[in-house]
Amino acid sequence: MQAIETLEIRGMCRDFGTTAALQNFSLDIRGGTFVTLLGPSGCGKSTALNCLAGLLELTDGEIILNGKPIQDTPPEKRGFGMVFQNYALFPHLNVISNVSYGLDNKPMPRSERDLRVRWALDLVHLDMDEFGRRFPGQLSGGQQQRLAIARTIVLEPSLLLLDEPLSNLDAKLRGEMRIEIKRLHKELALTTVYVTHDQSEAMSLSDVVVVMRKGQIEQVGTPQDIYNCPRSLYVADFMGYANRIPVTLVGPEGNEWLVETETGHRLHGISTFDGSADWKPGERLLACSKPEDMQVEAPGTANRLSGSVHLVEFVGQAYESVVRLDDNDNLQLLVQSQNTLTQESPVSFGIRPGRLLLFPYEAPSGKRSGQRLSAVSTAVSA
Amino acid sequence: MASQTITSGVTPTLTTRSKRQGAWWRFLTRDTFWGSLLFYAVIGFFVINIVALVATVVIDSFAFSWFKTILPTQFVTHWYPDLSQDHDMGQLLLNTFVVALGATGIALLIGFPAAYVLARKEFRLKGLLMAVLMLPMLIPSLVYGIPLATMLIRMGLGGSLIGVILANIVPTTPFVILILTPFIEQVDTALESASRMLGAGRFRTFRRVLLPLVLPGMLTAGILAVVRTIALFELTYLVATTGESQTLVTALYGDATGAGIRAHQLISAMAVVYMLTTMSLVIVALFFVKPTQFVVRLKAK
Amino acid sequence: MATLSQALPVTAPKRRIAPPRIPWEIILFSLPALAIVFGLFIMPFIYGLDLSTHTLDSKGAIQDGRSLDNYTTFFNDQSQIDTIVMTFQVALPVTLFNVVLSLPLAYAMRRGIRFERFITALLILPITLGTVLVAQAMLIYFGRQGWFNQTLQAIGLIHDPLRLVHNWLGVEIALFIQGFPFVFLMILGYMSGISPDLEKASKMLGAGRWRTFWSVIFPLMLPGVAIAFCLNFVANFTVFPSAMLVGEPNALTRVMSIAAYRAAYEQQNTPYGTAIALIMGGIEFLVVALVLYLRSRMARSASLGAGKGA
Repeated sequence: MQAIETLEIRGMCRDFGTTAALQNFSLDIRGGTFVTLLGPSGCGKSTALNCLAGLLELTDGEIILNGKPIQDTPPEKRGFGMVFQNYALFPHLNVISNVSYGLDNKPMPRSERDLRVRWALDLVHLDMDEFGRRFPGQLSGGQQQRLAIARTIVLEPSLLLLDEPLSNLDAKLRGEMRIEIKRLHKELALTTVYVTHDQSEAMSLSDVVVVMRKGQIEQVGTPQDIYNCPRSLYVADFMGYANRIPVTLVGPEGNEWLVETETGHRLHGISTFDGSADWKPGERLLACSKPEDMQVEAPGTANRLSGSVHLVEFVGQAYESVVRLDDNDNLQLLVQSQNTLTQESPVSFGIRPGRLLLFPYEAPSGKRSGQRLSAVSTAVSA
Repeated sequence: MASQTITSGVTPTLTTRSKRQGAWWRFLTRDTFWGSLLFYAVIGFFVINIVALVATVVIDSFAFSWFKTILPTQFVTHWYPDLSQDHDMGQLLLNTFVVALGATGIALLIGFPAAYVLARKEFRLKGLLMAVLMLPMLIPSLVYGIPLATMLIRMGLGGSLIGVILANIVPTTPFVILILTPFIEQVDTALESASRMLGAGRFRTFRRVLLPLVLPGMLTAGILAVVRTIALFELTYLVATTGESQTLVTALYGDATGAGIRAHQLISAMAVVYMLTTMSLVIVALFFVKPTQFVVRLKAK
Repeated sequence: MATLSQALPVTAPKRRIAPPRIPWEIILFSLPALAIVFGLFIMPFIYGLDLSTHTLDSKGAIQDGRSLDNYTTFFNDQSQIDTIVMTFQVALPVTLFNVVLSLPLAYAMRRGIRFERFITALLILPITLGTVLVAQAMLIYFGRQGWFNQTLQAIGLIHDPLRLVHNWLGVEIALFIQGFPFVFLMILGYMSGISPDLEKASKMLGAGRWRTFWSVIFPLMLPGVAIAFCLNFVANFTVFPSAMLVGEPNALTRVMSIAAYRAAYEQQNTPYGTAIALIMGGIEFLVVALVLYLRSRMARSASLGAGKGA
């Protein structure tokens, strides 16, 4: 297949009935890149992938491969490969026939076909002599996953599409297969588009992460970009910035902003939000931070708040506590500490400088991070 | 102390006795016991009568005569050869199979794409399409059978096998669609997508992925439709106006209504021939399908 | 290093209005089946409607003029109106009996039957044998000297043989043999589709077996029961071979289908016979529509009740 130099997606749209599942999706992909589409279910990431594959027709927009529009090319003529969420292995064909299914569409001597099948199965570490005659139903989940990948890469597709390929595996296998996918990407230098709702998968695999929301692109960047500098509250939320403190802007201070909480505490924060240049003192903002950046043991920082411990949970590397701020019962934050804390005891914690991000104020929607805290408080009050 | 000894002395006997009693008691009062009893009694009664019903026909067909006795006094086999005096049995059997296989084959060919659309596509008029296609199953065959037969006779198809096949396609097509649709729904759409992504076109995808996976469904629908068509009486009866287009079931009915002029053993012999034809197919069918599939279930919603 | 791609700014604000796609695949695929339904089902209906407005002249030729004479003749003829009553007298009792008998049996067996395959195979025997054979076999088995009467006499239940064929009862028995397995297996199918967890939940909430049946199982069963009732009623309403063979086709079981058949084929008056067939279809359709309407009303009130409760 013709290798990808550039793949340009311009204003790709797809409607289902009257609902727009995908709106004005535009993205440039260079050859060899690993791109991840990240977002919650229903954000349009799978629709985008299926449009790219050709399995869904576009309502509008174009897809340009190496300068040629391909949006009207049927899927079998695009030369892309796809690994499906449930693998979609042909249950009536054995392992070898599944892998050679795609090769049968090309004229090729039998000996070469056999060689390629063996090559592909070797690549995913599936022993052809042991498993070749088995049917998909006789394979474990991990082996099915490997077979699904082998069946796709045997055709040496110019673009590999993966639709939540790890979501059906248990935690341990998921970790293993994640490394396998990364290895295959490196070995074959395959241009890859990967769809997931799992931010840790996106972070560890990708060169480029595309965060999607309601059928539109919310932010594009490297994993480090997205993780450290979310440009909207939505992305921050998705990246685990679970703590939200309503604040009022006092003014800029050096590279940072000085804000004041509802109870008069002053904190230093930074902004990764695009429109922050227009902010004026008195502006209502939300200061967001990850639990791991709110440390009880953090010494000597100016960004300090205090409250009382409400609930303690062991999360592996540390303890995470729900802390109710003094003077403000409505505000509960997740704070980490190296040692367990006593319930109802007073506690003071520091926020790592540069890790408090400011966004325009939004009323809590009762979703996502809010949910986690309110679930905890309901459990406590019950 | 004393009370302790008493309790410890008494309790074991109590528990063992209540255990022994309880086993029976629990068995009798078990949720399922009386229900099962009722069920097996009623169904058993029903089934015994059905078996006896069939058995009498078989026995009668070998009887010299049969009055007031449990079994006939004398057995003969001449009723079977006698059948050919009234009927061309070879022709009847041939007609029966040609009609059943023809109607089923055409219904499968026509029903498959329709079932595919109903199983795979979402569109605004889907409910209407479904309703229109299922209509012939909800209207009794005699209601449309009389005008249909009249129309076919006017078109010169009365008394021809083509006319009989055409009439039998009407109820068979919705039946086949109804059975095939869930079988097609069962095949994951991702399999078809995967085939396309592996470079196979629509036709190859159909031939190499969909068809092999739906084959059990085709087989089920086909066998059930053949069995049904053989037993389907009214439409064939109305259209098969000549002797040459009769099938086993209409010939049997003709014999039975003209009972006065024939020995009943002769009718029984005819019934046995008909029964053997159907039963051999049903037995073949039971190797492939669950017996419950003979009863069509419309979805409750 | 990772090559960075970037989202383009909103470049294509003009959305072209997508032309409505013609769903060729749907049309092509459903066309053959639709052609069959239209050509061999709806066309005959229209043809029959037209035919039924003509009358025969004295020589038996179809006259040109249209009128509703066939219909007025039918409704002015007491013996024809009686066929409607007789049809209901034949069809309703056995349909109700089938449903009422099937419900407790299916309820008792909702968790599965032992030897299920074998028992259902025997149950479907009459369905696969067809109406004609069952009726023919009944003449012998349920006859005055048949095994059934012989057995009853032998165990002393009766003295004189019962008259079980060539009357109304004969038709009912024939329809029962045909219809009961059908209704039972259908209702069993619906019943086993109800999650056992609902029953457990009801019991955990303190409801007894009766309350659980009437307030949980039965309401959930109603739609299925209505469908089973309808399908069985349709079959029983146009009983033809059984009514001819094991009934009294000239008297008490002279049902509409016999009247229609005789008019069309024995008196060679196809217009009149067609008219009767269409009247039969109309009445049957009204009953089915009524049952389905009641079903949907009950379903609605059930969901409303649930809404209020929540």
